[in-house]
Amino acid sequence: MKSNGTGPRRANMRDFVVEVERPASAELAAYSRAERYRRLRANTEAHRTQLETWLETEDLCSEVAGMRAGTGFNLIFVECTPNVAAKLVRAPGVVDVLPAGELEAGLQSVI
Amino acid sequence: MSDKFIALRREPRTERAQRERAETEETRAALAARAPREEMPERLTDLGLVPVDVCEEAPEVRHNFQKLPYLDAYVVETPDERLERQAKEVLDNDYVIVPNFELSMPTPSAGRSYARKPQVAGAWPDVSGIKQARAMGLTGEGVTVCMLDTGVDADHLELRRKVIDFRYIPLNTAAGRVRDCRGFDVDGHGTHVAGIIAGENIGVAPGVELMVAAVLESETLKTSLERVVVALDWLLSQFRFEENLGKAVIVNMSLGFSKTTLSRKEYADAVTGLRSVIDTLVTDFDVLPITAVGNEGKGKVRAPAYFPYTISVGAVDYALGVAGFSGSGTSPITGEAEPNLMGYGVDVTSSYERDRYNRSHYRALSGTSMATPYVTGIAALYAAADPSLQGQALRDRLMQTALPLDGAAAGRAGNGLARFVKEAPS
Repeated sequence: MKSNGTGPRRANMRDFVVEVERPASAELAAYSRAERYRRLRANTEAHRTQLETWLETEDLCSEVAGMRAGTGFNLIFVECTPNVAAKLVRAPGVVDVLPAGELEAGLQSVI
Repeated sequence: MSDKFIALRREPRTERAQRERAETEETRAALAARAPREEMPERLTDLGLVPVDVCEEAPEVRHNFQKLPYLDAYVVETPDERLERQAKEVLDNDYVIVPNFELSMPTPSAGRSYARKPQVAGAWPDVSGIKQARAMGLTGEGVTVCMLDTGVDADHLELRRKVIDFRYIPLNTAAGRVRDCRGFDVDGHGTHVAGIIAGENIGVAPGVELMVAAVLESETLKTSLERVVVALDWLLSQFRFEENLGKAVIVNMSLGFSKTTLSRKEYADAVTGLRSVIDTLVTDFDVLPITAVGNEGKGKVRAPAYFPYTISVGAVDYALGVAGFSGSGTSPITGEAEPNLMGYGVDVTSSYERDRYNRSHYRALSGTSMATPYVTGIAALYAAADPSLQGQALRDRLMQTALPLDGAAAGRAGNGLARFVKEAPS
């Protein structure tokens, strides 16, 4: 499975955002912002690794075009088939799976 | 949603070899004319749809279809759901049905344009308290403001002496790279917003440290949740550096997400994702998001302005009258009235694009996205005066010190005009 999705987009692949579990804010309160960022990012990356393993175990890799690198937010962006997205909801550590399409930002300038 | 849909031929009616020869020997239209006769126009007509010529600008009939001979496609327009369904059934065998998503383009700015700084630019009214802040030596120094916008022209006269930390976030973060380069602006909007916040001569808080993430494609002005997440992750990554650990951080989002091209569910999903991100910023990092409430007038508010913990900003003119376009309403999440505060957002003159002669232009623009950076600047002045004021504490200070607009209609002006007040409230 390509982790950066640099190949051409295949038909029936869609963009989804996977919300994963994260440490409670109360747990992070004792740390500095730097440490909070480090822990949140490490948490997301650990979930990402876990999801990769799960996809391989479930033999779903052929339906996944790419999974983006983790960030400090508990959201992982995945390009995959709707079938995989539906199954990801049951993967360990996953809270929800949502479509992640384009948004139109209407700029606020008027005459 | 549009009343139109487009039907594209699944399989061409001519052989591929014939089409390839047609590139040099004859037009495709002539080739299509010799293709097996299609009964589709009659079948659509039988449903009650009227054929119109593609050259007609405004068909007078409400239920119509256009044949696109070169594409071998149809555009069908009808506001009747039953008729639409029937037409799709007729076409479905041989054609792929594509919805005609409407894309709204930004209203072209017709504000006054200047090739040099006009006197009005940066002349903030006394009631704003900005002069008071200046007299105290406050310019926003030590405060970080992060903008998510079209970009910034870092070489504009108003901004070129600042070191602006700029990132261009690509539309496809998988295929493209995040570019760390000299700030540029695909539209002019971001430069205008940056000038209001931090313009050397015109800004509310020219001393702030400015981070700008270009998250909007030029012309289409589209973005994605992923681009916003990558941009905000870049912001959070700055906390790795010791000198940034204790800084007040404000995020200016002079943009709102529209649901005109998304289904109700798609919009709800997008809002859910963005809200998760904003919650992390606020709860775990004490960042204060300041957002434009929208320009759709009374009864309409946009995400993320109506999220909890953000400050939503509406627009007033220099006479403190609420602008007619300024959005207002109730947050569907909290049930609270929006906007929270008001800022100057009518005919606000600020930096714009440079021209071919490298002259730094200024332009007067109106909108809640002009009002938002004004409030961001005021917030930065408070944070500079008292570095312990961050996140929700900073939000509370802004709300408590606002100038009530007693003449405004109920629910249109929140707590009033954001302003800098020297003495802390008791």
